[in-house]
Amino acid sequence: MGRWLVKQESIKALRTAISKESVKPITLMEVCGSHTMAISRFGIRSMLPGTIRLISGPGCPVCVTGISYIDYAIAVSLLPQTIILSYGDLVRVPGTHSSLERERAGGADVRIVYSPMQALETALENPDKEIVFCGIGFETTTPGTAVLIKTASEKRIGNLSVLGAHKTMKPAMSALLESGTAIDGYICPGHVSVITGMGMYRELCREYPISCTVTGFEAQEILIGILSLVKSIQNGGNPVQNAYPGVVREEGNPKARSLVAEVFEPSDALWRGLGSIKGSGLAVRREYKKFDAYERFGLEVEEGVEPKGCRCGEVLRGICTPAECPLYGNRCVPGDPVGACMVSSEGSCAAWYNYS
Amino acid sequence: MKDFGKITLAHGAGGDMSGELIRSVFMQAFGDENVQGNSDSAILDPGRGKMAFTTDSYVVQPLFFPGGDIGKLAVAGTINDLSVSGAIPFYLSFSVIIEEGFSIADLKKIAVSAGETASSAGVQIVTGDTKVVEKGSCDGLFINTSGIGFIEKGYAGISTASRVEPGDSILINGTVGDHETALLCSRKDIPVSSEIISDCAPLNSLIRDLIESCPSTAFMRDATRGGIATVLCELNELCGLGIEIEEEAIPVKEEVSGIAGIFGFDPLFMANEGKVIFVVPKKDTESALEILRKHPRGKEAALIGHITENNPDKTILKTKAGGSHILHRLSGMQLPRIC
Amino acid sequence: MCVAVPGEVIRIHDTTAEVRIRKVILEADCALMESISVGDKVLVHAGFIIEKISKGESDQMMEDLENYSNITSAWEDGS
Repeated sequence: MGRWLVKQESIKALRTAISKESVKPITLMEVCGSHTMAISRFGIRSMLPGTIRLISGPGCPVCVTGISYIDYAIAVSLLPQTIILSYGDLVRVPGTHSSLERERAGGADVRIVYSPMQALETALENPDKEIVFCGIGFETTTPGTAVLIKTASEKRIGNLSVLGAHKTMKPAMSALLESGTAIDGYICPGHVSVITGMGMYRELCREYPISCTVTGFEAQEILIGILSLVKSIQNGGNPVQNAYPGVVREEGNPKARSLVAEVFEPSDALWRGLGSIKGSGLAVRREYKKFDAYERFGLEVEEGVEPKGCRCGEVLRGICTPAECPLYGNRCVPGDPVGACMVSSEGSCAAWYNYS
Repeated sequence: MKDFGKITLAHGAGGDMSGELIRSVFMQAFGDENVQGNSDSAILDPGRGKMAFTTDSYVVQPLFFPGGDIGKLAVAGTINDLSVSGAIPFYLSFSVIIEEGFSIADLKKIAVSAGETASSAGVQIVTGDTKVVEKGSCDGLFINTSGIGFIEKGYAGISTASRVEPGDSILINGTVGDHETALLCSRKDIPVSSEIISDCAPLNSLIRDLIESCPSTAFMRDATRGGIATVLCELNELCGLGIEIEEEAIPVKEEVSGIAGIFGFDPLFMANEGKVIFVVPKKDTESALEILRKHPRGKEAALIGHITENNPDKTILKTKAGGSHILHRLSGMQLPRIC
Repeated sequence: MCVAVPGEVIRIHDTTAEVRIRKVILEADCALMESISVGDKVLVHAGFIIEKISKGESDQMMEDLENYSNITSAWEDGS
């Protein structure tokens, strides 16, 4: 993969090619937190002509996790003999009153993990405790949680459950188009596509007048993706392109998808800032219900309350830029975030702030 | 009774057991002739001028890591704090808070490591304190070291960056993120491993070599938690001048890039324990780099940026991609992320 | 979702494989793959191998892009 590392000559050439090709104003949206961050970090916007508007969509799984999910996780963490395991960024997301990080400071056993399989180890090492894993993420991450649940079931682990908030991208991408957000092309998430394959973009492009290019994460890979979208939008031709072919196969990873289908089934899901999107979530199937933390604990948690003035929802829909939110930069900063877009380092607002 | 091998609350009581512990573990390791074990403070008269005095506490986990341990860290860290302030470090105190049940053999290893680090740097540990707390009251071992040094003539203000000027070069003595990477790779709960070792080391002789040959050195600060990004932002604030850094020029080991890729970290924010940011006048850049590279702790020294009149309130990173963005300090810790 | 890194499989255990990523060895779970062999170039995310990378295709694409007429002509224009 060495040759994929940044090469200034190809970047210069790509910039020129994009400027030459791009003759009419278009809007491109990326829907992947890592793309949000890479675009800000590499300063991609400053490399593009004024005809191309790049907006950030709901690509950060932490940012779209509902407030009541955090509140529920906190409620579980306060139960005796309970260990909560979570990916890094989730612990700082503010719920209605608190965050998992604050609860840890107050004595709750909250631990950060890199892989869901660490939850299995923790459960085996602590047989007298309840282990709860916060399963968030899109299609790239969901298969790992599916393996966790399936393995826990096979090994008859009795003290482990998953608090699930996994989501799928296509319903959200459709919902954005349905709601009238003006998007000419999607910069499609390279690693989600590793799992899903190209099929869902073909469906999307049949249903809507849009182009989709699956794109990688290095600077020149992003520019190649943008060039491909510009050409497709302006010149017609195949609206679906794979600009990450060394990594993304046409069929994706069928084994990963079948494991997910075995453990989860589609459900409606709440996207913070966007509202409920039909069929965009994943609920644990009945056969595995004992590993569903919602079932296991059955706690009552009040409807989450969005902080006043926070415009995360509009930012996530690409309707306003982070700078246009009244809280941005004063009440809401990375060290003391109000909304989820600022908490996660790849949230639109954090990326904007850290890399402006 | 047979040697229990573990600290008990009795060791902290101040009686015979305390005395025996101090003699057999600490005075042996630090040198009987150095430690003034019989008085509250050590009286010292080396006949010099302005003094620097610093203190720091060390609570690192794990206590033993590739390339060092908490003892080495506690001594090197305080020596470095004195050295980057323009002082020649002379004396350290060494105080410990030990958890009941801690292994005395481990305590000995840590003490020996601390003693060796100090003597290799030409610094004496002259006084200390020992406390024992009940099981659960501290995480194994906490160490505090305080240090005294004497300011080299002309260097009293070196950490205020008052002599920094536009055009000056920004140098670093080696690769970034080694310490944090070594710690992560040695943790049992994360499935990563590598050969990298911490860069934890006393840097007083490196710094001495540089300022003797390059008396025009305008600023020095060691980069620890928060990485070199923190020091660069601090420098920007102190000198009131712009900073431009070339991402491509920052030396990073492969292991550090690997860990950064796996967890989604940025090496600029990763912790170091043996790295110093130097500012020298542009004309002295080559000779400064030559001096640093001759020293074992400066072999990979590099020019990473410069001071500028442009954008005086900003620290700017020129990325490998040819764009640039503002470098901010880290807010909180970097956490392993999925997205 | 997207913090995924490429590496090379150097050893295989029961349900996991040791993947060399730069000079770091990561033990990743193989449950999402049909088969894994030593020497495979793979993509790792959250402790799982999620795909094999076909290095040949990557290099081919890089060449195609470098030969991409727009790119070379833009380069020749001296920008």
